[in-house]
Amino acid sequence: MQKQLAKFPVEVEGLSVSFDGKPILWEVDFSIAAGTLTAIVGPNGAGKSTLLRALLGLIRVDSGKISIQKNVAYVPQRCEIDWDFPITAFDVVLMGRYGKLGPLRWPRKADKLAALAMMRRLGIEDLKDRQIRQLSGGQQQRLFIARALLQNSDLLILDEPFAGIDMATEKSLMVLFQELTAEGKTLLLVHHDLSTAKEYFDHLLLINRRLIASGAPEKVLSPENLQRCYQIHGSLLEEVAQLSKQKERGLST
Amino acid sequence: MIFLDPITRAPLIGSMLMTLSSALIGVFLLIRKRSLVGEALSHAAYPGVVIAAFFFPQSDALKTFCILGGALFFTLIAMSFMDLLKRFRFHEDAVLTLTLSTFLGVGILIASRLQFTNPLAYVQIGQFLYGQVATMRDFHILLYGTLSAVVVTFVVLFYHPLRLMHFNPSYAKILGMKHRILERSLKLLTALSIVIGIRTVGVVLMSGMLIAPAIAGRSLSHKLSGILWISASVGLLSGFLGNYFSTEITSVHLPIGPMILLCAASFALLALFLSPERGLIVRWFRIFRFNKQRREENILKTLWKNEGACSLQAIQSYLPLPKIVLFLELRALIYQGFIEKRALYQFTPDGRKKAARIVRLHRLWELYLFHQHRVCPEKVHTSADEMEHIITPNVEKRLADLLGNPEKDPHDKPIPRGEV
Repeated sequence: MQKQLAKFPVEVEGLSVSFDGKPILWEVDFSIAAGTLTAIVGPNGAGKSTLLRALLGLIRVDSGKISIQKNVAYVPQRCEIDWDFPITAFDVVLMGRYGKLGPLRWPRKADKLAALAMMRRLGIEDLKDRQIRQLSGGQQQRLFIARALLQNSDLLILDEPFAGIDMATEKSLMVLFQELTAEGKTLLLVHHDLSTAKEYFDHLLLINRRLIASGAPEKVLSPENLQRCYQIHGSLLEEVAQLSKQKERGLST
Repeated sequence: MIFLDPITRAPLIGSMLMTLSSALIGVFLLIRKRSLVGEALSHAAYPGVVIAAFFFPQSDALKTFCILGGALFFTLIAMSFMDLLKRFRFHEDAVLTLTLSTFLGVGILIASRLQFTNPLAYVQIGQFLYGQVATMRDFHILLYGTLSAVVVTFVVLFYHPLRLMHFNPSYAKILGMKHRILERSLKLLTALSIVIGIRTVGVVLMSGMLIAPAIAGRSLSHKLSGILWISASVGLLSGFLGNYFSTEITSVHLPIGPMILLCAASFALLALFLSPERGLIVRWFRIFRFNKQRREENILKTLWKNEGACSLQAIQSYLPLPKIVLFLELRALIYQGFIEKRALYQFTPDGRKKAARIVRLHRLWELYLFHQHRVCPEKVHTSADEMEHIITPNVEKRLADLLGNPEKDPHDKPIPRGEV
């Protein structure tokens, strides 16, 4: 039976996050419509990954309301993974089923077959017994996407999926993402490169500490939005906000 | 025999059970790159041992429990102490060093006082500093057996959650795993294994018992399950051999604890040598094979330059190799069917094909450097001498496609055709 799709799998209201007395996100509001391919864009240190981590409940937020559907499929950032960890590609993909198993249950044959089928779909079946360091950048990325897809969720969140891979691989991943969107899945990812953002995505969130703009790419990437986005650093607003946070926590003299 | 003798039975089985549990726990410390935690915690247990011995000088089973309890208590305190220090954002090594020395200092302070007021207890404490296996009794078997059973059950039941938690903690959280409880259970079992282990090998050597079997496992396997199996076997075997060597082989009785550790460390070193991926022996062999391939290909290239036939002396004038090496390589090439010896050494048809490919790779690479990277033709030769031995058929095809299947190299020499 088809699950009832929520119209907005992700809704955020007034979200503020700080880390070690430094405000990272202030008062961010947005919502993501079901079945869209959305990218979070913005300069380095704008709080893109922090936003994702807040959505996933991985970090404490200062204030704001996040409503997000249960069972979110997640692809972590490359640098979060210890590539020397003693684990094979197949075992990584299989982890996608752990949420469905109880804490004491070992994966069943059905789970293993499903993991293999997912690896086949992403063209990495032959690599199943390799240690994960022995895969190329693109293969590693596919591995974690396979794991996320095995969770069988309608909402897929990816942190910098294009970091450290070449242009050809990026293009082939993009084809995959568009396929998934066409299947009715909602994809939210962090993207670094403004020059490709326009052609890749149907929805953009431009952030730098605050939400600068959201919506269709042509509208979001307007010259005045970009200027606002890239001028925030070092502004008086940031300095004062940081000072206030530090005073509260007894870190400022 | 050694398993049945009432005197050797308890030390042997007791230390094997203890090494089994510490070998399993050590794997998790190693894969999280936190081996030093074992070192700090085992030293932190020391004041607990000392205080327990101070208050309960009579010697019986109750006392063993008091000592274990005291040690466990201090180990847990040390864990909280480290968590507290970490909030100040010091690097873990600073936190561990401070914890280790502080707790050991407290222990030494009390122990030195005890030396004068209660010499009997002082002697007993000494057992925990360096370990004392020989005085174990059957009751220890029961105690250590229970602990090992708990550790093994825990690792088997929670194998998958444990692996996920160590590999990708944020993902574990997203899947809704209760990783806090799991993490605390693992911490408690780590503390327990250390506390029980120090009776066998002592505060000072304990961390080695945690890590050595795990290192052996990691060098031989790239799967967590494999590492756990190997580590457990190495732990058990070291426990056995340590006892065996120090009581059965030598006439002088050597201390068992250090002997067990030495066995485990030897296994770890051996595994590093034999490791199928990164082991020294495998790598030496691969280097030797590559050098041999390079010499053989250079000989074929020399023959190519001399119209396919050459004397040994002529080859030697091109390749500065000892005569015996050259002779052996020529024999090897004859044996492989690439050259034959008539009046001179000369190509078989297969040898000519192989030589053509080497020359082709050499000239393709020269052309590639000249064309794509603007290296001047006089300087391309050295690099090509190296790459001709390395380029794979796949790279060869890509090079040829990129350069449009060229027929002349930068020196205007012909590039032999590749095989389809």
